[in-house]
Amino acid sequence: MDRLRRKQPEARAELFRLYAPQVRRILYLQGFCEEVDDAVQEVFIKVYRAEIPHEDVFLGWFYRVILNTGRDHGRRRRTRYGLMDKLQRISTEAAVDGPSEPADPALREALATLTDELRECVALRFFADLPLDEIARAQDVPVGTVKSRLHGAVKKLRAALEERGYERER
Amino acid sequence: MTDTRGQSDGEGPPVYDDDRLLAFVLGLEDEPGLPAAAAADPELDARLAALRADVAAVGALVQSAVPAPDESYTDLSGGRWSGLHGFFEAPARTGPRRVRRWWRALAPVAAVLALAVAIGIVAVNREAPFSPGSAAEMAQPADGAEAADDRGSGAAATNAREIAPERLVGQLDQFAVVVLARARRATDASQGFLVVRVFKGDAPSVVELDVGTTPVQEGRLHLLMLDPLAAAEGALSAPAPTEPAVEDDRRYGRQLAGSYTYHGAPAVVREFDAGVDPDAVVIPVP
Repeated sequence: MDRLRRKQPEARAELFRLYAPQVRRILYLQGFCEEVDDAVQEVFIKVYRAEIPHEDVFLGWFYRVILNTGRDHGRRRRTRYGLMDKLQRISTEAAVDGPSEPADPALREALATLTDELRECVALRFFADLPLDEIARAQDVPVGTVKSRLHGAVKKLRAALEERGYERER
Repeated sequence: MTDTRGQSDGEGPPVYDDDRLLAFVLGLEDEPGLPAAAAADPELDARLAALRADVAAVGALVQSAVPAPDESYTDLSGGRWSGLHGFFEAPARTGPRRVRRWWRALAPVAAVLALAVAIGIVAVNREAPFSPGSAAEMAQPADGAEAADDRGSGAAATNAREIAPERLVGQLDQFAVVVLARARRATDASQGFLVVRVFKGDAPSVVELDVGTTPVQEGRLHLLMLDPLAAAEGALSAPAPTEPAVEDDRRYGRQLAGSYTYHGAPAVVREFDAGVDPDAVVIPVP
């Protein structure tokens, strides 16, 4: 962290290698799907240019930068694409990106019903595996709100899956 | 009053609805009594297991909605992250830039310092004490016309540079006799000079100088300044600022640093290069 604070290039590269895939996934799930690499790049540019905060609060700060960047991009694009369209693109590009199976259509539809805040919460929980207090810092809301959002998001997703005949593993 | 937080309503076993179980599974709420209750109640245990499976499935599907990119994604060498390259190469580029910036800032200061050091060296040389009995050094005028600082070597200074004639005139003014003479072989502490031209005053055909240090080179032409004038005696008898040996000029010879006296008075001796035509020597005697 000190090296990052001193703006050492190797520390910057290390941060990028460690977090870039995760940043990309969060931005994707936020609803930003096209030009996601530009958004990822913007996130790291902001981080590299910023005064790095203390280690104790770094993660919360870092994810807040990600979310704010995603929100900015989302706002800019919202007039052109509807949420479903964006999520369709997520699924399309996801299939291209990696070995994983394309997103389940039922999940895509369920995700589409979530508000931005709920989707962010899900992203931070499932992609970044952040504890509740860090999610709260990143979203700049109380921990209780995070609990409520996360609970509501999973409940919705679970219901959506059940509606569509999702078969639980036993 | 009793603190009942974390307890059920106290009337019976706690009620675990789906919301409460989901909060527990997600780690949102602590339920200290739930594991024991689930162990004792198979139905509750089954509901809890089903919720865990649902949450795991939701997590897995969320993960699959946006798969992790492959390893090449973080390859910084490609053009994909060209916008970040400057940040990774920053030190390599900012280093020299910083050096150049510092150099731009410091160059004038360095130049001034170098000049100051050079002036300081000259000043130190000017203020250096005389060697006792060094007639040549004592013969320097108080205004610092000329001197040599390679004391004790007895050799002519090697730097050749032009001196202003008026400076030489100032030195010549302090002596009654100025002659051009060719050195003879030295004997003991004295050396004879055969006078070939007289520029000022009256001089014998041979001038005998007492040589305090090393004799001058035999056969060479020398400009001798003899018999310091009374006005200059005081200045000459006291230590005076010296000039470094740079006060050499091929036109007027090189001032020697040795100690020379003529009739007990300090004398100045300037040595010409070998092969100099005596008739070609021009001395600005007023």
